[in-house]
Amino acid sequence: MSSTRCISASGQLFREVATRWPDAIAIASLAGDLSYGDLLRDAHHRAAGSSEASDDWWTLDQAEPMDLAVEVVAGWLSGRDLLFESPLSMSAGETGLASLALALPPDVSGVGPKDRSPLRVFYTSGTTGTPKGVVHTDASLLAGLALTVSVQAELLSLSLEDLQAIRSGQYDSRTWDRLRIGIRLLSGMSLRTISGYTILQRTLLTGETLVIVDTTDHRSINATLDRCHVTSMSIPGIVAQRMLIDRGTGNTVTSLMAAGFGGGPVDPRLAERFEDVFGCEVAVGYGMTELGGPVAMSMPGAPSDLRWTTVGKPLPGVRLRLEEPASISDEGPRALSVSSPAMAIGVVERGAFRRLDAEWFSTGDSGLIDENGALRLHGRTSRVVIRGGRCIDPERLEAYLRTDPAVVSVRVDGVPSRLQGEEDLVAMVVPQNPGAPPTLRDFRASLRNAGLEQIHRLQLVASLPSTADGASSMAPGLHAAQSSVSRPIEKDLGDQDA
Amino acid sequence: MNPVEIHAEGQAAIAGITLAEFCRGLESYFGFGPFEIDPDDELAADLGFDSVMYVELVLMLEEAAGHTLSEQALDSLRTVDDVWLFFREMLLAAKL
Repeated sequence: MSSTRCISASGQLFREVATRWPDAIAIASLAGDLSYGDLLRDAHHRAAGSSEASDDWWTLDQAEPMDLAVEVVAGWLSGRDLLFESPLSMSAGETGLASLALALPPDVSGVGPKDRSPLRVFYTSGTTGTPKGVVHTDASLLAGLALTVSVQAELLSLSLEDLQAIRSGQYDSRTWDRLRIGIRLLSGMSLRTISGYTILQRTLLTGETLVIVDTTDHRSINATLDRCHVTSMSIPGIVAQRMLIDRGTGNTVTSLMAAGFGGGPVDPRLAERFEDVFGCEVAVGYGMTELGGPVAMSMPGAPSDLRWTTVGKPLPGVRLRLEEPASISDEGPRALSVSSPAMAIGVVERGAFRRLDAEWFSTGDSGLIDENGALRLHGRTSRVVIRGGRCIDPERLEAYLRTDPAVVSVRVDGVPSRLQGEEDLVAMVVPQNPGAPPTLRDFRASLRNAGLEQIHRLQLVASLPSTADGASSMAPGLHAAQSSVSRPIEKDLGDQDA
Repeated sequence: MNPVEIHAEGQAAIAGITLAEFCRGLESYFGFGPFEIDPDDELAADLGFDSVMYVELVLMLEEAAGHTLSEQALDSLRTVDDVWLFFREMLLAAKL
């Protein structure tokens, strides 16, 4: 149903930035640059072209990063609700505004003149491995911008009042001048993800330059660093690994000052080698789509052991809560919940909307706060496996493999990979016919045809080991057997949204 | 990062460079059973290589060759046979 739409707070901010610095470069890429003036004009054009759309939603489905960035700005200006379409949204079977709108209750989707903040829906593999749409508002994501900026609060001479003004989208020209320090920030994450959107906001709402790349092409990212004079970037750890291989011993990127690794745990040795080759400082942060981006970040200039082995202190306005230990003598890692001003209002999963608690979000991670107040992550409280920056639900693979007639029972678990910070998926299988058991190759072909993630090791067993309550558990020797050919995985790793 | 530390077993696995031995080495390294890998197999389509496995393969070959590889050189390699030929040429070039 159509309604009278007003420009969003982000749209107002962008228009003021573009009017203030029309000749500044808003978006840079290997294909060319786009000034703020040109971006405002192009976005206005697209927003006007969409104004006759019959509903309040706008599906952002542009394949090219430059087109997608322009479309996001057009979405801000249009005041419409935005759905970031992605392979995950399609695999969730919920693509299409009709199904999304059906899932949202009236007080969230709303109709008629808007006095609410427009919605932004991102799809993610999330903490369960099942694709889901995370429902944010323009206002919650502006609060996320304040959190991002607060990492540099000292450098930018920002007060708490300044951060509150940014959070509410009301910051003035004095704050603006201080926010604009000439950074050229490369997003190695798709703009369809909360990580990419966070970078897009940090640049385009403060007059800085967003550097866009094909996020699947690490060689292109390497070339872009040099040619677009990138000063800072955010990339998944697996991309950092491939960039190092591509660059070899290479030469330092003189403009590059900082790199943030996300999309999964970070290997401190990878961070150290990256700093050596690229001549920049590597920072590790922690965030999730549901939390609206980063909620903890190691501070620039902090000692390397703190920057690499913790995810830093919570950002201003963020609170962390660790579950009470089972006993007073238990000093191990505890389940982590987070409260952030940038939290999503709910999620759409399997066609149903679930409202999130307005104050606390249970992350599914476990950790500890060290003596410096920094968060040390120790892993997940669930069985989810992280590989290549994606969360994989082993139970989904088990459910599929159980349908194989050659399989009596199966359990899938993650074990440390040779590449530190990554996990391999190992399937323990009780075969129907031990004389002619299924092979890893069989399973891989079957999983590929089903569009599921792959398993990497196969262990044939006579029976699955059981816990006291009768549930199957990982074979006691599996970790030991795997670690005999692997370096030990670090215990204190950062974890970011995929 | 020290690739020797990670991939010492990979170096041993591909020390013999007949095509059959190369296949057996890959099987051992990537967790396949004996004779599951054929020379004609495509890395992605038949063996299910993902981004992490490609990085492992590059690091394994680098370690065996004793020098850094241009990953770009691997772009045209689709099958196990392609990788083996590339690997042999790389070793021969290193000896000249």
